[in-house]
Amino acid sequence: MNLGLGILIIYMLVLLGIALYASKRDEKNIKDFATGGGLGIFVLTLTFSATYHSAYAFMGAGGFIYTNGIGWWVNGLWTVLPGVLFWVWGRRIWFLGKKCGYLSVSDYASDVYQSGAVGLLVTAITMVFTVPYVAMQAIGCSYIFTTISGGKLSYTVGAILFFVIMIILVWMGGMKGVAITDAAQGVFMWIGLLGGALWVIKANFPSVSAAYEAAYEAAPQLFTLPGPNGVCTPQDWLSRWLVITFGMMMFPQISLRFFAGKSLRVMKWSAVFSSVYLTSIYVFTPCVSFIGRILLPDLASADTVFPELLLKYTPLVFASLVISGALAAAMSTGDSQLHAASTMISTDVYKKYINQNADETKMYAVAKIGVLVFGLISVIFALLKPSALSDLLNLANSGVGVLVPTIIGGMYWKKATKQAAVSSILIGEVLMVLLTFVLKVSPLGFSAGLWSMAISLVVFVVVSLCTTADAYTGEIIDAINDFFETE
Amino acid sequence: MGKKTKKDTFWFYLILVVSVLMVNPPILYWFNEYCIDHPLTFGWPTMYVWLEFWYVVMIVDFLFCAWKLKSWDCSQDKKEITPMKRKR
Repeated sequence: MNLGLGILIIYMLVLLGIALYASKRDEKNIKDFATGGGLGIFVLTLTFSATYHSAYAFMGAGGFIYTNGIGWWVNGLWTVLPGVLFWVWGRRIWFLGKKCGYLSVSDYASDVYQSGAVGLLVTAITMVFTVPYVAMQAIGCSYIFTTISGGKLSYTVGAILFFVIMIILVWMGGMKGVAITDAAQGVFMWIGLLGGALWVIKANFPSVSAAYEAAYEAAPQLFTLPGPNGVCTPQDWLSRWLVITFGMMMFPQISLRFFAGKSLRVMKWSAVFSSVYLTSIYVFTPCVSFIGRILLPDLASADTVFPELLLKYTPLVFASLVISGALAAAMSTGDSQLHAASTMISTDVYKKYINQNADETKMYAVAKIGVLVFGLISVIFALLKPSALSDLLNLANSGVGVLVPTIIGGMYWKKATKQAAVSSILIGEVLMVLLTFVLKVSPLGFSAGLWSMAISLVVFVVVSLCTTADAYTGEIIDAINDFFETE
Repeated sequence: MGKKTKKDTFWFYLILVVSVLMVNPPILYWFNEYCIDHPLTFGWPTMYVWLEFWYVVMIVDFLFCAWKLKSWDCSQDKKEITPMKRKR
């Protein structure tokens, strides 16, 4: 057997072992399945960060830099700010989870607006746009399996392997299992991305500076905006960070972690350390991707630049270990997404609309079936090989970005109404689909995601001002403000 | 929220907003003109150094405030959270 593939298999067996250990501590009920029963700083930091950094971190980021240059580092905004939002917004949702027993953001939305329609819309939209995001992880895993096996494992086999492992991981451990395996994978991917990139650089150049100088000689346009292909314009810059930073917070795999902290202190320090982790992981990524332009000028898929460099310029055992880190990035996001989606199927669809008398054990069983169904849909989507990883990331975030006014408005603004929530979500989504898939235009150079997010905000404010808010929304906001008032 | 609490978070948000402005258009694209003439600084891309500097400012701001701010001292952990009856 191929040595690299062998190392990857050992890595996956270790992960399954960790999930098995976690499953023995799982209470086998929906609340524990959803929230993990209260996580500490170390695990929450790493599960949030590893979930946030997906296959994009190892593959999409390198691919974008290789093609479009330093404009990629707009990324830094959506690695620093998520920690801040995790603390500023997340602690309010954390409190509501304790106060009102919410298990998901759509659960919160339907209660705070006193509208099943709002909850159902939030559930439907987050689930629909989680599909391309899970598919993105499957695509990343497939690339990894194909690259490391020297093409012996096909793209399809890679995607199916991803599906099987994800199902087992989530089935075995629930949130606790996912969080603990994420923590292990988070450590692994951080060391892998930094160590692997540095090794490739040092194998070819005496220093990082020398590598940058050589890259500048070869392709000076990589070093300034808008990059060699003119992609990183001011409009593109604003669109990318605004849509991804705020959109990411709406994904269920991220928002579910707002409920998971053991205490506020845990939430705070996890938020701070997440910003540090998410940003520091990319220190050598631009350099290694720039030199990829010199060392591998004719790559078929730019997204594979980092694994290809590893396999070519580092010992196979080391390369395989680092590529396992890439697999960690994809799987830690994939398992969290499947877990979050299945939790929503169980709590927000099954319990509310199909069987209102369902007990926790029944809901736990439904969540497990949900993992299977949702995983299958996502892998079928991945097998269609839809697009480049960075484009998929953008599409998924654009779809959920329109939920921002509804979710955040309900925590801060007493005039927010259910009519405003429904109309802002519907108009925002219709606009996003129209601009992205029908008209295929970016008015004034701004992305469809940014337009739809902005319009949904305007609609939300205007309709709220024209309709009457439910007094209950005010009660929820008062409860939050009373709790956080320190003087 | 009390006045003191509002004041102590004011500096956090001010530094954050200034840092965000520094890494966005139009300031960023003015700085890009400088990068065209000076592509490397300390051996690293000048644009990268500029962006990284402001990201580090944001992180240090966040870290310092998490450590020092009275309104973020998590004293609420001592409060009991009484469950509220949901309407849905």
